[in-house]
Amino acid sequence: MQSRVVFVVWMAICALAIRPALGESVDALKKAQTAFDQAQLDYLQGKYDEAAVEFQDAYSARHFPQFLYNVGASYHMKGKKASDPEAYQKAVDAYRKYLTEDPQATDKAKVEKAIGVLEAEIKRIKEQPATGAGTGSATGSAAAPAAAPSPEVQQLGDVKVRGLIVIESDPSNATIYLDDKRKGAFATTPWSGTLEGDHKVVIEKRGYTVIEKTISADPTKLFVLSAAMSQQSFLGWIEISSNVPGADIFIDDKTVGAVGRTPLSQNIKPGKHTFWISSEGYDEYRQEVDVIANEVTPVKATLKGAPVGKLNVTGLGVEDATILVDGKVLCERGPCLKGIPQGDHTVTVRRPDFKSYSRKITIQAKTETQIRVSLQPTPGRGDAIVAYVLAAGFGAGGIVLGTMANGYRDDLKKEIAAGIVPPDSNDPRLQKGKIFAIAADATFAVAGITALTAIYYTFREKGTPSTGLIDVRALALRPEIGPGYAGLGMGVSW
Amino acid sequence: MRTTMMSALSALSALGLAASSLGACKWTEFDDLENQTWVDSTSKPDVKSTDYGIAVQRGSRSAGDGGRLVVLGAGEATYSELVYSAKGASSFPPTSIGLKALYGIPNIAQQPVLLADPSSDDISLIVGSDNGIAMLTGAMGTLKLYQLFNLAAPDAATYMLAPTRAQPLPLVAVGENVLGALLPALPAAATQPTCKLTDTATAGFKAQVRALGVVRTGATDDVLVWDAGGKLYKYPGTVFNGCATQNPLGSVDTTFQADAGGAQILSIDATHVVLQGHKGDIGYLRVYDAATMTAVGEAAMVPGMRTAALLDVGGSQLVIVGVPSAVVGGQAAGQVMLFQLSAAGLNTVPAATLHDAQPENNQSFGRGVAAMPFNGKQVIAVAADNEIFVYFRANLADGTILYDETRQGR
Repeated sequence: MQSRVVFVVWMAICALAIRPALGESVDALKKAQTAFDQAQLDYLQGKYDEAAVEFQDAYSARHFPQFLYNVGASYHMKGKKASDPEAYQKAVDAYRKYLTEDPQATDKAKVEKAIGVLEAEIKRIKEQPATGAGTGSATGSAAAPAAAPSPEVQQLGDVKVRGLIVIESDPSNATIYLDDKRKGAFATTPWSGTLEGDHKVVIEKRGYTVIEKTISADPTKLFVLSAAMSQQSFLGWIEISSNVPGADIFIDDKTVGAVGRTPLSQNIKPGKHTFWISSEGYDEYRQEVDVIANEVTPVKATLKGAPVGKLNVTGLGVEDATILVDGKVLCERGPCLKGIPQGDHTVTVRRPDFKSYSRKITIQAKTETQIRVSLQPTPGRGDAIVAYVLAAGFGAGGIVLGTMANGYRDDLKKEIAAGIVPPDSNDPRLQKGKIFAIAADATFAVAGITALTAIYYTFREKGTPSTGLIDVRALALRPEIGPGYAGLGMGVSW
Repeated sequence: MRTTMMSALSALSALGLAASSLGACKWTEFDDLENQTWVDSTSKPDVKSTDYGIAVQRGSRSAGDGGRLVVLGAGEATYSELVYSAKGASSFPPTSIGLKALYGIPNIAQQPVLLADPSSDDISLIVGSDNGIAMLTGAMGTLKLYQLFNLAAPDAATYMLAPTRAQPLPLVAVGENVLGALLPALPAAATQPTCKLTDTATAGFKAQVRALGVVRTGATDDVLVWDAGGKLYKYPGTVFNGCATQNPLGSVDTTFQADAGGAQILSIDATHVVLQGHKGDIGYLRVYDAATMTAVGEAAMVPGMRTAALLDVGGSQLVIVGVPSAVVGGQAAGQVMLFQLSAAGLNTVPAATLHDAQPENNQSFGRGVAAMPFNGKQVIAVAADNEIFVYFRANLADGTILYDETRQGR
C-alpha cells in the first residue's frame, strides 16, 4: 500500500539554514501528505466517510482546494452507493466550498452541474416513502434496500479523487518555467494544479539561485515540489522585453542558441553582456549591457521590420524547379520552406521544359502557406513555327507583288509626265498594277494576321496549365492550463 | 514574357516597315493615275458588233463643252455614238443602232465611206446594203436612211454644194458614174440623176473613181475625182445637177494608182487638197493645188497607210494618218502619224507618231482617225480594234507641244 502512495518532498537542500517559515510549511505538508495518502487508500477501499475526514484533515493542514473537491467526491460516492441524502448533502457542501476557495476552477461548470444533480437527488429521496432510503449510515442495518440512484446521478458516473502537483518556493513569488524557458513563464510560486508526464521545472527569482528539477507527475497523487532558494547577492537581474512578443533572445554567444523569448527576466552574472533579440521578418536588435550585481538591468528591444509568414512550396518535380517570389529567387531548388514578409506576393515556380506556375497569394503573419504545385510539360510550338513561316512567305509574296505594282506605277507616272507614247486610261498596266497593289496589300494583311497568329501561338497557353493547391495553416503556441493538465497548445486551422 | 512579346512585336513592326518600304502600294494610286492619263481609251460598249471601231468621225462641229464621236462597228454592222464630257470622261448614249436589222446592212468593209457635213453636225454613212447603196444621214441621235441607190457598193463619196442647193449634200461615185446632186426627195417617177464622167483627151477613158473631193469655186463646188488610172480630174459642179456628160476642167497625173477602197481627197482650203490612198502596202499622201491642178511639194509614201483626216490646231494644219498594220515594239499593233502641212505642201517627215503604250498584235491602232472638236479645239481620235482613243494632249516628236491639255481637270 505504501508503494502506491508517493510522498515526495523535494528540498532544494541547501547548506544554508532553512528558515522557520519554511520549516512550518514542511511540517504542514507532511501532515497533509499523510492525511491525503490515507484518505486515498480509504477511498479506494470504499471507506468514504473515513476518506472524507482524512481529505478534510489534509485540507486543514494545507488549504489546497483540490482537497475539498476530494472531500465532496468521497461523500458523493457514499451517497451514490447508499442513496444517502445526508452524504449527498455533505458532498454538495464540500463542492460548494471548493468552488468558493477556487472560484476560477476550470471544472467549475462540471462541479456546479454535479451540485444541481445531487440536490435534486436529495429532494427526490426525501420525498419517497419511509421504506425507501436508509437513514444515512452506510453500515446501517435497515431492512429495506437502498433505492437506486436516479438516472441523472448515474450519468455523472463514479467520481474520482484528484491528485495534485504543488510547487512552492521560499521565498515565494518566484517564476516557474516548464521544460524550456523559451516557452515563457509558466506560473509563479506557490502553484498547485495538475500535470501529466515528465517535466523540467525551473524556478527563478531575482537575487536567488536558479532551481531546476525534473518531475514525473501522476494525476492520482499528491506531488509537492518545495524549493528553498538561497540568496545570490552577487548576481544581477536582467529584464528583457521587445515590441514583438516571442522574439528569440541570445546572450553573449549566438551559437549556443536562444536562451528564451521575450519577455524574459532572469539572473545573470554581473559584467558586460551582449544581447541579441531577433524575430523572423525583423531586423536583429543588438545591445551591450553592463550588468551590476543586485540591480535590475532592463533591455528593451525595438525590432524594426514586418511580421512574416511561412511559404512552403512542394510538389512533384519541384526539386528541379526554381521558386521565385516577386521576381526574385527564393529557392534555387524546391521544396522550399522560407519565411517571407506578410502581404501580397507573386509566387512563381519555374522548371525547364515545363509550364511555369505563377500565383498571387497573400501571406499572413504566423501562418504557413503551402503550395503543392503540379507542373505540366511545355507543349511544342510547331504550329507557331509553321505560322511564322507562312507569315514570312506571305510577306515575301506581298513584297514581290508590291514591287511589281510599284514598277507599273512608276512606269506609268514617268510616261504620263514625258508625254511620249502616253499611256491611256485603259492601259492594261493600270489594271494590272491595281490588281497587284490590292493583292500586295491583301497579302501583307494576311501576312500580318498570320504573324499575329504566330505570336499568339507562341505565347498562348497550350495544353493543361500547371496548377497548384494552396493550404494556409495558422500556427500559434499558447499556454494552456486545465484541471488535469498544463502545457503549450498548438492550434492548426485550414 | 512581356519583354519577349515586346521584342516579337518590335521585330514584326520592323518587318512590316521593311515590307512596306519594299512593296507596299496604294491601289488607289492607280485610280489617280488613270485620271491623270490624258489619253482616254474607251472599250466597245454592249453592242453586237464583233469588230467595233472600224471607223470614227466627228459627231459635232460645235465649239461647246466636250465632244462627240461617231463610231462604226463591223462584224455585225453597228452605228454608235460616243460622248465626251468637258473633263474627257466618255459615255455611250443609248443611240446605238443595229444597222443590219434596221437597214439591211449586214457588214461594213474596212475604211467605209463615213463623211462629215462641212456645214452642219450631220454625218453620212454610205454603204452597200441588201437593198443597194444605203445613205444614212443625220446628226447624232437622228441618223436615218436618206436614200437608196440601186447599185451594189459605193467607190467614193463626198459632200458637195450642188447648184440650187443651199446645203452640201453627199455625192456618190460608183464606177464611171456619179449619183447626185441629191434632192431631199426625188420627184415622182423620177430616176436618180446619174452622170457619167468623161475625158475626151484620153482615148477610151472609162473612169474608175477611187476618191471624190470638192473645192469651192463660187456658188457651187467643183468636184475632184481621183481615178484609178492615177489622174486627178476637176469637174465643174454644175454638171451634177442635171447630169450632162462633161469633160473635166482640168487634170493632173498623180502617177499613183490607188487601190479601191479607202482613198480620200481632203480639202485643206478653197484650192488645196490632200490625196490619200494606197496601192498594196504603199500609202500615198500628197498636196495638190486644185486651182492650177499641180502637185505641191513632195509625196509622202507611207507603208501601211489606210486612212487620214485633217487636224487644225490653232491655225496649224496636220494630216492624221492611220497605219493600222504598223509594227510597234515587235507587235503588228498599228500606229498613227502626223504630217505637218504648209504652203510648201506636206512635210514628209512625220511630226509625231502615236501608238498604244502597250501595243498588242492585231490591235489595228489607227484603222480609223478623226479630228474631234472638243471644248472648242480639235483633238485626235483614233479607232482600234474594239477600242477608241482620244488624245487630249499631244506632243511632237521633237518635244514641242502640239496642243495642250484640253480637258477641264478630270
